[in-house]
Amino acid sequence: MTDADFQTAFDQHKDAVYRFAWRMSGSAAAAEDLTQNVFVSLLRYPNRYDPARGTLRAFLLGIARNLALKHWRAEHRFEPLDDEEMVAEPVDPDRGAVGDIVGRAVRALPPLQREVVILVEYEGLTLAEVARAVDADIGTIKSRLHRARENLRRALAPLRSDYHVRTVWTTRS
Amino acid sequence: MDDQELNRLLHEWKVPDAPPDLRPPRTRGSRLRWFITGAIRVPVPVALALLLLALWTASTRAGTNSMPEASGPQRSGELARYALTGPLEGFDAVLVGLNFQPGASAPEHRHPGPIVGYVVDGQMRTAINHEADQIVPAGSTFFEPHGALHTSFSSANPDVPVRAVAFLVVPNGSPLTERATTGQNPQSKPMPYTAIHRPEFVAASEATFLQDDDILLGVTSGNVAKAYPAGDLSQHGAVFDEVPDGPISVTWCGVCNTGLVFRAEVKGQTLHFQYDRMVGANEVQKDLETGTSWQQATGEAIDGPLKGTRLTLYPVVRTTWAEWRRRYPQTAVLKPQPGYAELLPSRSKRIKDVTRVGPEGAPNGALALDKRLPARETVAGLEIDRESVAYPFSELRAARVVNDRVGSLPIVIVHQPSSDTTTAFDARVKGKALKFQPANDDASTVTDLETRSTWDAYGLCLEGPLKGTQLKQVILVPQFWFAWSQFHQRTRIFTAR
Repeated sequence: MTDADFQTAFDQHKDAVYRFAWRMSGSAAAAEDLTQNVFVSLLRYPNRYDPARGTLRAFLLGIARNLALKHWRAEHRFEPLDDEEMVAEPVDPDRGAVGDIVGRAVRALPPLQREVVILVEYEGLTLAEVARAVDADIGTIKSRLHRARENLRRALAPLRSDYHVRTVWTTRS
Repeated sequence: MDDQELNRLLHEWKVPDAPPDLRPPRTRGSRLRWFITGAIRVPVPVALALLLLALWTASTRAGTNSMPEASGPQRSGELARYALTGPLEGFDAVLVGLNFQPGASAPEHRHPGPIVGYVVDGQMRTAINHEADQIVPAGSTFFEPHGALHTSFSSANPDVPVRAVAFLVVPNGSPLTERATTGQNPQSKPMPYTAIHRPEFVAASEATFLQDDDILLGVTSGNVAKAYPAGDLSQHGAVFDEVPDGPISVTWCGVCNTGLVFRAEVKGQTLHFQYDRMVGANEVQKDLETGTSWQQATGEAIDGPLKGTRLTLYPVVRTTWAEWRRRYPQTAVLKPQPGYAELLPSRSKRIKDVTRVGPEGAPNGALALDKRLPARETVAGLEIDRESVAYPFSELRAARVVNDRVGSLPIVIVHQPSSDTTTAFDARVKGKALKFQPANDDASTVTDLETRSTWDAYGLCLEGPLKGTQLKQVILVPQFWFAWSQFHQRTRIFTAR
């Protein structure tokens, strides 16, 4: 990879990587650090990218995802990465703008559900691309995405215009 | 909630794209970086052991003549010298072999760069800046920061020679040693770099050692005004003093061109500071009471018992002797100590010169290079509510008065170009922010647009409806750009339009 190739890759994909990191971490500073680290990794090991196995964008998002998880693990040593039993709490519809509430709900998901939602819904990766990026099979990705969407449906229910009935939620059924 | 509605809600969450100033990691010079950062991957002792093994092999093969015996260090016998490229362009990496006969010693000297040394055989006696001697046995390392005065360097054992290797980084082609005493010109005799803890002062009329345009740090407290000439501060690093509202430490880092005053007090304990080492080409000073190390440019405790605490900045004005004396004719002036007074004119001149035009490039050891400004352009830094702004002197000389908002605070900065005196104030009077403009060429007086009152450059209203009002001073941190930007990486840069 020449310097010019690298610069092009950076220019084309830095926004996607940054947005992904921002959504995962909720912090601009962490997103900048992570974006830098993703491209440092590309610079150091350009041969790890194999065009036959997918787009550069998906590859870089895969690196970003690994770095984000590594960071998360360092900070949450005793929490599971995915909690299939997790049932999201409904949001408080009066706490801030709709966009912020949605952001908080996505970030409240366990990391493996969160990354799938972000990669698919926001960055537009296909299920196959996500499967390669997170090193899992498509079936697993599908079920994670399904669980994530169910959780979001519950969490965001109070934002519906017809949400009048107060429902009693339990965290574990 | 159906899929469509969920998707609609999800897309309400918008996040920003990468900021435009986000830059890619550097591509060029990466091999060099790989080499330089080798110590991160290879533990330093292992690297040193390998280096020594290589040296041993070389010296054994060449016979004993490769390390000539001598009565002093064999600086002339460099083992290797390589010009560096990339971030260290302009410097040479040099390896030297040192060989002392029993009892031999080197005269006082300095080196134009930092040194890491390793004692191969025997015991080395070494000391810098007239501190206590340290004995470095075979198998141990020693370090001398850039510019330290090497006051003792010899074999510690009268019967055994000492053999060592030293690694230096020095400017291209530079000799490795500067003799500290010439014997012929007493004026050039360097003095120990030690803090002043019992300062003496003279009246303005007796301060004949100062030139009108000499730069100094001025402090006022109650009805006391005190001037600390930068040329003198730069020979000591720190001056401890007591002013009516408490103990202060007046500091200067010659490499960063940074003059700062701190309250010399943390949690009720008075602290006396002493130069310790350089970090990021900025002085780190240790307090004698707790042994905590403090970064001068930020006032932050970087290691030791008080790590994580910060010293409180004390208001200071960086100005010239003529301007300070005009403003405070009754000022007291720090009296240079014998030996230091002789060096004052050359030190003062150097500070004046580098403030006008900084030398090219950042000094060795700077942590990060922000290329938005030349590394040694002098800026006045300001940080409020975690927002930081750099006001380059070159821009301030053009603007003279800057109305700005930093963090939540409306501020006004006044710069008098003739003396490069920069002052800054909270621009609010009775809760209302005023805007100012210069009233003359040098901005020695300014006018506010709201009441048309006239103010002096020190925030005092002289004429008009607000006469007698004093604006609250905001503390500026003047220093070279590399020093400000390495500790304030997201800093905004002010430009005069």
